[in-house]
Amino acid sequence: MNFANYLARKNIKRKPARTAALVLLAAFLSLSIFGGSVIIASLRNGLASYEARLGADIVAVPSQARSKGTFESILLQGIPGMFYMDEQYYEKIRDIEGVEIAAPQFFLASASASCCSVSVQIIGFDPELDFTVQPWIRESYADELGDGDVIVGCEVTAPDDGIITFYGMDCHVVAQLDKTGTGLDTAVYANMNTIRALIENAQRLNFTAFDEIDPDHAVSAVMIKVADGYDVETVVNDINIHVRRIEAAQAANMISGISAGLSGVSHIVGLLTGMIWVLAIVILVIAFAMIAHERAREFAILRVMGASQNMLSRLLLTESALISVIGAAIGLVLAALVVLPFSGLIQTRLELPYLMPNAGMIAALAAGALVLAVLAGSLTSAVSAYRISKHDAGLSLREGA
Amino acid sequence: MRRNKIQPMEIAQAALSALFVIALLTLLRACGPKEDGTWMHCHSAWKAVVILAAVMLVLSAAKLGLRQPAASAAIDIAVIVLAAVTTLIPGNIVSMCMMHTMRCWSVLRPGVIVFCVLILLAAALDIASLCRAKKGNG
Repeated sequence: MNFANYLARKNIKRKPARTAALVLLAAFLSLSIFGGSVIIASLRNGLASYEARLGADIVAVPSQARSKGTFESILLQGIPGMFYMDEQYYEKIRDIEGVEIAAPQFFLASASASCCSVSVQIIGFDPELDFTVQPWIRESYADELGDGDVIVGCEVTAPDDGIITFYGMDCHVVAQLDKTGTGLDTAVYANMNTIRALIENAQRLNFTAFDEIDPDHAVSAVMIKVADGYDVETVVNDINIHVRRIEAAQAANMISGISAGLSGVSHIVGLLTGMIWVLAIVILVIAFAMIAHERAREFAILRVMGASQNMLSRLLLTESALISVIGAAIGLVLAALVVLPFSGLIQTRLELPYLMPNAGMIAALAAGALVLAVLAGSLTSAVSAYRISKHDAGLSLREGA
Repeated sequence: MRRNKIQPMEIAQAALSALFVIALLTLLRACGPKEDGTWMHCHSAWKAVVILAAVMLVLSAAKLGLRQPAASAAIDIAVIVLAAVTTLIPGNIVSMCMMHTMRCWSVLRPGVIVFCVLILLAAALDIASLCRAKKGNG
């Protein structure tokens, strides 16, 4: 080990309180950039996932579901909801010019899951018409979804025996879907026959919420694929004009609304990260300038003993580099201990689609944050190191005397 | 050789253990009772974690008064094992609620993981300093 490195390590150990403070500042650099970049990457992933899962060009729901935000709550936050319209509205939508496929979905909220006091969103779909749910289900389950079979979202723990009970009816869990980062992760999927059986059971058990619903003639939402050559906005307008009590919206508009929310959060995260960096770097620059000033005599003595000007610069740069490396590593660990295990809580609080990047991407973000923090931290002593190299040793010793 | 003074990692370990117990009783509580007053599965997981955290606190506090390196190392190893087991309690050894969006999964479990990792690291670093001191005197 060369003398500059040896001396740098000794100096760092000699002043543990000062070193700890500088390490903490360096930790803030990597903590803020790694934590911030993971959150922003997760929001972007979540938005892409949300867009993919919507699948349809147009979504049509009863007007009261749209005005109360019930539908968006289901998709974004996984808050179970139930709303229905008579199937005559579905038939009218199907007959609108420009509608290539109209796939009905049925939303049912269970009274409670078998262990807990929260209800579960159950989504029924027609396997013959559906084009939004099945492509996603195919990624986890290739067979036909039978009567009494259900597929659960990734945030639903599949019981050991594979049986989950809703309204007194046992349903067989056949697969679990991959994470999407949306409210759909807490949903359970079934075909329409299973939904009808559940409602009949619920009515038999005197759940009054279903008194006015005829499960054979009701739908909750219609997912619409627009035919080639037709403008989506025109078809939306046609539906809203010709089919009363229904509100149709372009899926793209729903996504752009969330995208605006995502931009807002990203800007705030970016601003906070920038503020932390400016503050930490300014303090580090001042700290190293003060350290260099207070050690002027020490450097002068080293010069008299034969140390070159370059060696003195290297000494200070090595100290700042060591402090930056240790601080950056600690910052990375602390950020990882917050954003990785608490990703579920972050998603719940943000109320936006949130899907963590894969392990490779996280490692790349960590490496980038480490490099940036070490470089920035090391360079904070650059000015002081340059000044030391130009300082007159004799002058420092005379001033000290 | 005896340790003459309390080491920083010993203080860190004891402080983290104390914070862990406090956090479990306040911020990291599991889901509340059901409408009928009965508790959900996660309540058992929380109780088990509280007990293990209290044991870790007692061990870490007892270590502050110890000067024999061998005894300190033994306690460190016990704390490491306890911390590792505690991370497995919520959701693995003891089942929790069905929905991963519930408090037990989104707050209790990650909180337990974070604290146990930090306590485990503090104990591991203390063992490392004990070994270094022994090598230096050896």
